[in-house]
Amino acid sequence: MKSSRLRRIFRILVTLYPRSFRSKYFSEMDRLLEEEMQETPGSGWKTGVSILLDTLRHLPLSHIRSLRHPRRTPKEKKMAWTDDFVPALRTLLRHPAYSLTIILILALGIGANSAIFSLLDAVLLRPAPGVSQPERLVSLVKEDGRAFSYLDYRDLREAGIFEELSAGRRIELHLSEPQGNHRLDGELVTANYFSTLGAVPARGRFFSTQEDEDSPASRVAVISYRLWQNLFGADGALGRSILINENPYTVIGIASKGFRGTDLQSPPDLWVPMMRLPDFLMGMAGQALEQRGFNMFSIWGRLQPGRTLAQSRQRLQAAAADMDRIHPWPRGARQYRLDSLQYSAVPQRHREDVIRQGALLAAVAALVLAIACLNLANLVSLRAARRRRELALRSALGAGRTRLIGSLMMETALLAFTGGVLGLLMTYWSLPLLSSLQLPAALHPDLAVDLRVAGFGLLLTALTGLLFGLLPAWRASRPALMDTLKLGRGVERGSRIEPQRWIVVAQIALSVVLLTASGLLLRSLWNLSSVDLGFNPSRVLIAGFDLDLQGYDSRRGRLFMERLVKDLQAQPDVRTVSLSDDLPASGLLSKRRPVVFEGRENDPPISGIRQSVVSAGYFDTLEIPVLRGRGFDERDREASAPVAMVSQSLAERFWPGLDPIGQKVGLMGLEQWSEVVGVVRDHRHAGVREDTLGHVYWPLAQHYHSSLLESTRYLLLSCRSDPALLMPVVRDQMQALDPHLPLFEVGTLSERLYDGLAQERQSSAVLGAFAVLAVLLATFGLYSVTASAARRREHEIGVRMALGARPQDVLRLVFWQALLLVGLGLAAGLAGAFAAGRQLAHLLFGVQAFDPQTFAAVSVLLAAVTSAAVLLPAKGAARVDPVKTLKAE
Amino acid sequence: MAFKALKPQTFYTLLALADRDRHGAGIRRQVRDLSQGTVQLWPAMLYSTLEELSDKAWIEELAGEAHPAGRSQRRRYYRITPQGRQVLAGQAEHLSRLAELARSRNPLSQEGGS
Repeated sequence: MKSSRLRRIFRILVTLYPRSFRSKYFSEMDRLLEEEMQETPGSGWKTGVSILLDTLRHLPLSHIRSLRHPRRTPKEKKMAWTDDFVPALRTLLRHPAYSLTIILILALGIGANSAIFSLLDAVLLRPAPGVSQPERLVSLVKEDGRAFSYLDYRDLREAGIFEELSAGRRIELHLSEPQGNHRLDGELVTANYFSTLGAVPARGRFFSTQEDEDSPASRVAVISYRLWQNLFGADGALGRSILINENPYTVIGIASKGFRGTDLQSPPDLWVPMMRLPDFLMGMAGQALEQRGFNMFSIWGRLQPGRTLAQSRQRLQAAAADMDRIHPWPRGARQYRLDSLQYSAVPQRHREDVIRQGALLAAVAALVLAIACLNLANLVSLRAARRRRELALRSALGAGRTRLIGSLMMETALLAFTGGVLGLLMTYWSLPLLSSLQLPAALHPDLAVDLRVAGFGLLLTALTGLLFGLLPAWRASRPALMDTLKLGRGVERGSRIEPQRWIVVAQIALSVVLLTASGLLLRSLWNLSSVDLGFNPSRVLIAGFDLDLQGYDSRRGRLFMERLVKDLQAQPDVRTVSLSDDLPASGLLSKRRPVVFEGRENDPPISGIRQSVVSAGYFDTLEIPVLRGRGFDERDREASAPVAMVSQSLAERFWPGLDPIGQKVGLMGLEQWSEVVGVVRDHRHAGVREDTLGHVYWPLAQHYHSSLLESTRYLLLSCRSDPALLMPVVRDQMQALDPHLPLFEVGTLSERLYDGLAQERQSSAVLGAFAVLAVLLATFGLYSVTASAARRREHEIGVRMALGARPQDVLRLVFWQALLLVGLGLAAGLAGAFAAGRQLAHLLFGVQAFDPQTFAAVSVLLAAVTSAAVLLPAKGAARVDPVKTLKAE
Repeated sequence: MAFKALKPQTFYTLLALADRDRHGAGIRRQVRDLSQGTVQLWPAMLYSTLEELSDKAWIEELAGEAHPAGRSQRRRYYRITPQGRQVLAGQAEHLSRLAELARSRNPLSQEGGS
């Protein structure tokens, strides 16, 4: 034990000794202690423990006992905190059940709130790690939402408005390693990207200006910390050669641990110099960096020191005007906007979702804390009521009101503090659970109980302890002295409803709100998972791949896909094989040209029509019935007449009363009409939540490139047996055709649909857990209030029974009085639940905010639970022995 | 007078003051030497004992000017009172009688006793 710490503990302990003793001996004791520690440096800690134990053992008990009786000199009335501390501790230890209950209740309330706070703090309040002076970072956007051309970026950089201005573009890439192939998110960036953000590498270096030139030496890459850990096992990755899109790159640096670049939602795993663009965007090599028409880059900047956002905006407008003069822009003047790069862990577009989800969590946690506090107030005031005689006696013996409040407060403070510390421990334990929660933005914040979280928890503790300890203490310390002392056992005055009864009503109301909300969410989850999708996801295996990134042209690509389908079709247990450019229920709307209908070419473009490019066998695989005409088959080839299929609802909407077969559809801006050859039944393609919209299907054979930038294809395979068993077979077949092609999103379609409901499941699970907690707390509160009311009325009940009341009369009396509270709480709670349900409306599916079934179920459940809580003490009251009561008079 | 055995720390404290006046730390050292290290007077025990013995007037605290020269003024010196000596002597006598008694019964021999 360090001698300084020993002395500090020693000093604290000594404060428990009488003041006279301390003033007389303390300095000598302290000196002796110091000498002792110097004399025996070796066996320091043993001596230290002996000294402390000795100090405890010699605590003058008579002195501590005397503190409980306020007979002291005026000088001693200026009391030390210890005068209340020790008796409070003793009182609480004498009632372990009471103390433990309160501590647990508070710990749950505070734990839940700190946990939610730690999550919100990490996600919303803290700036992203790995960058310096994030408040000076800005993002440059065009008013029309388009991206920038590289040449415009160069001009803006020359203008010198910013300290640094960098550009980048997100890319997908293939990393081929001997141990396996991976598709990764990457980013093409200018060499000054990292210095703009003020990032520091964990290892190696970032790009140099030399790598902004196009030279073979610039095939270099910086990798994220995560990739380094996951893929390279955190050993020497620097200087290593890796194969990216079949080109050799050298790893020159590793970004710092928290660094997430500028897209915080899904940070890239790999950065390469802008000049390597031809390796990644085939077909636009050269043009992309040299023509003002290729708007595909994002721009970020760092403000000049001392220059405000507004000043920079002005200069930017001037620069834009200059550029308009030299390189006029066909769509009109350049309109730029400068936004502060909201450098917290959530990207701007997801903030609202996260805030909404976070607000729900925070509201629920706050409700639980409110119930916990009510319970605390309830218990404290009940105990205070039971101690009324003791308090009155102390008051009669000369204890002032502040003195009484002080000692009651000390008890509450002790309980609150212990509960708060335990609550923080609970927070700490719950963090792994919280980290696994999927927020809408799929963030994985690094959660930790840091100073902020601990501070928040302790602040809550202090507030609850103060507020809910002070009020009952204030009430209880009002010395109704003569009443209490005269009346002996203390008869309740009047039929006034005491505050603790109102507390119980509030508790019941709050738990009804929580219970109803979780009931609504559960019902909507049930609806979501049992909704008819219109296709059969069972026994369907899926796997994504991207041939463009692997450098395939359309000829090689067609060949690859044909062979893949043929080889897999030959496997036993494979029922059908098909390919598509998206997955059912993926929720993504493809970025394709709008659909046009023959005869309505001049209508404004219709957005919201879904399009998929699918191979023959797609509808078979998903068991979507073809209602009219035929499905795609081997007749539909690259050179044959263009065809299309449509969904039932689209046919009804656009050709009402007409035969859809033979109608013509096309894509805006392409001079080509495709004939509709078949109509399929509607299905929920966009996910369970979306209502069926019209859907147009194009044959894969005629649409190899459905759009310039999307080259992902999915294999869909329906099996006769367990699809999981076929996974290795699919991998082997793919490997045989191309050993370097990475597969992604490999799994079963059912799993994918299940994952799609993760947010709903989590919301109902969290809310449900909190609701159970709330009901438990409220039930406990009701029980304790009823029990203590029954106990206090023992005398009255005894008299009633002596006068002829039967036990069942007593039972009814106590029971109905308590049920009145339940009824009040339930009514208030249902009203609150109705309001809360409206707030939840955006999360509900197939169920109204006012759902009679849910409301009825909650009412019945609550009535049942609370009746049990009331019946026990009521029965106890009915067993009161009138003889005993009268004897006690 | 019914005999009441003194607590070891009380007995040793009185014994330590029997030959000369001492301050707290001195008493602690002397007691440790006398008991061959078996009795440790840690600060709390030491000063509780001194307080208790002062209350009983078995020892007394010396006034400031009676301190031996060259010593720190801040240390309290204690002296055993005649009453304290009497208690100590009575206690010693009683203990020696007990010791004699025990020896005469030869507690270590198997046949002794009954």
